[in-house]
Amino acid sequence: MGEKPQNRRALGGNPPRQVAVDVEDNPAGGKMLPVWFFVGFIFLVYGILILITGLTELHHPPHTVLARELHPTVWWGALLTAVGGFFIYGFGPWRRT
Amino acid sequence: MTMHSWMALAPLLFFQTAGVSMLRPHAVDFAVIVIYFVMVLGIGFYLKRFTKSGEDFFLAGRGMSSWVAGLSFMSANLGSLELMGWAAAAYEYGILAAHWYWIGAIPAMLFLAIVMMPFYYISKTHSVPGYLQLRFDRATSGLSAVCFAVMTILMSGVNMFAMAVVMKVFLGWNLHFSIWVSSIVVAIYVAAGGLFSAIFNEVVQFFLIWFGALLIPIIGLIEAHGWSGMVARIHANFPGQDFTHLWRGLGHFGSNPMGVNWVGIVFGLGMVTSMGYWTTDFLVVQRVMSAKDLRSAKMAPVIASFFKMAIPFIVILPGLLCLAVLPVHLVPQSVMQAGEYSYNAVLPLMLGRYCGPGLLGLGITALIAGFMAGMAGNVSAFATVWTYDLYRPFMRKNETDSHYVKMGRWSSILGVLVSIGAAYAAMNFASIMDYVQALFSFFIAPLFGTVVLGMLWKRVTAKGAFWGLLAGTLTSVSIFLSMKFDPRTIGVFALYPKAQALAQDVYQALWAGIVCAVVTVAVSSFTRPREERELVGLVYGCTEIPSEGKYAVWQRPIFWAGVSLAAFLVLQWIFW
Repeated sequence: MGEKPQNRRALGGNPPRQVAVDVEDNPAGGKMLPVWFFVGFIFLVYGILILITGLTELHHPPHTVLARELHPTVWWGALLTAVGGFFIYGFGPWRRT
Repeated sequence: MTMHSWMALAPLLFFQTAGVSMLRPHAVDFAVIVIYFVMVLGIGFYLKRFTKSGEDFFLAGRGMSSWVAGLSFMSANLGSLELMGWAAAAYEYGILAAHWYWIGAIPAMLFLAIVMMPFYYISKTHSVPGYLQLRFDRATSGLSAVCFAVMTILMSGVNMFAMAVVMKVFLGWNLHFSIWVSSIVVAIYVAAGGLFSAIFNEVVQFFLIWFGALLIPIIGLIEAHGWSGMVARIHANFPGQDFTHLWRGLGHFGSNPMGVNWVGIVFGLGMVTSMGYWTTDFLVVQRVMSAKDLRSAKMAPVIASFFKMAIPFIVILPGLLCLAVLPVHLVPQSVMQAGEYSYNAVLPLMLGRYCGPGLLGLGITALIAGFMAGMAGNVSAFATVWTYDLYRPFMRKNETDSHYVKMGRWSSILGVLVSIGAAYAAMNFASIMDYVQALFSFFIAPLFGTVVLGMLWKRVTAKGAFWGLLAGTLTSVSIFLSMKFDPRTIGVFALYPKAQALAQDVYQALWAGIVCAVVTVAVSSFTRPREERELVGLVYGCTEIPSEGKYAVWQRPIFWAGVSLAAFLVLQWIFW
């Protein structure tokens, strides 16, 4: 019995540090941006890029099925922009107090 | 990538590689891809300064919320070949392929969450082999660690080569370019930020995969005039064949295209193969171990189970839509003629059908993200098992924490280099891939028997575990070789002579699991068990599981596990 706790420590049995990486501080390196911010950032960049592409080809859409009727590039770009904006607004550095 | 799906995807690696690529990306598509690579590297460098201790590097500081751990858990499983391979399987077998997402995943994920996670978490181990060392001994742990380390790195190489082939066929990219660029990027961000970096990127990749692939079923359903329109078109295109019922054709082996019956699906797939993968494959379990507390660790697989249930929408449905809307019929790879497409082309064909410039880049990025998430998962799991379960106990016991972190970083890079070697070996000796993929499956099913018996029954001894694990693995190897070299034995082991590869897999796993359990119990009966007080925190009945009474009902993992199970049952009923 005496050996067990020792073994567990040897296998990395340190108590959890409870740092809640997606939202909180990390003592090792100061404030850490939440992962949702990165999701928002890449979505916003992609959204703007795809939305602009969709708008430029609005009157001469690509030869893909239903592109002329639905313009998926436009509304998918808009959706990505909105999702990205939401995540950035909600989880950016300015939201951490 | 689940190990059982790997077995089904081997043909994917033998695409026709004529010089013409299937998709024609524009400048904006390449911009989308380049932005992705810059982003994942940026995340890796950003997180490097937060990765100081072994706990940070190998378990992401044990600070992940249930959502982050759950999405990462899901993403590590969502390889690009998973997407493409199962879309192909849906074209070939219809909605039967969804069994690998539903009964082949949901019960096991919930079992991990509710039954097994407390022991993994309370024992505070770094890994599954680490748990085996605490519960049994170094021999069982060492056997498990060596098998896992070797297999995971070889799998990573095979995955890498498969991805390079896909990029060559669809985009015309050079094989060496794809292998080196993607590997170097993964090596840099995993070595820099360890599991922190792998998990952050996996969450980003998870969203990219969804939003990159989601357009296909949406536009496809509009084109096919909804689900009923799609089913009507499939019946018109393939008269007399049933592609849209989950269970109705499983009463007999011969009444479905897979050559399997419900016993194989329920017991082989649902109770052995999937349990083995989801509860003992350290690649996915490591993500959950990074959770900040036990409740989060239990919630993570439960959250992931809802997304897993939804994945057929972006994987299986495109295969069914392909059956409905494509004017041509796809054919098996083995009989493909010039001008024809194989089943494996389902996803690229649908991407090209619906996605113009920009969206095509997003779809391709989803495939690349899937590949990189899988590879980073393999590399980070390898680094942990190598450092904590092999290097530390067997080579350098008493080094400082920073020494082990340094070893973790170097072993990540080494792991990528070995993966590249495996990729080149696969390039030159294609049959190696069959065996590497098979080897992985040999070990997982019996490992589940060993771990779950050890967790739930205090009478299991170290010798029982070791010999059970070995016997189960050897059984799996023997059955695989027997069915491969003497197809007459397929009828014996898979119970039906015309059983297809997926059906053979589930029965191979079932027999291996049974042998492992029988040998473990038998040997344990004749050997001396450990004292009960030594099993505290490791075995059911000897461990006090923290009460969740302080949480409201709707905050408890068991409540959401019940909701998930109910949703799973409703899906079975809807698509019966």
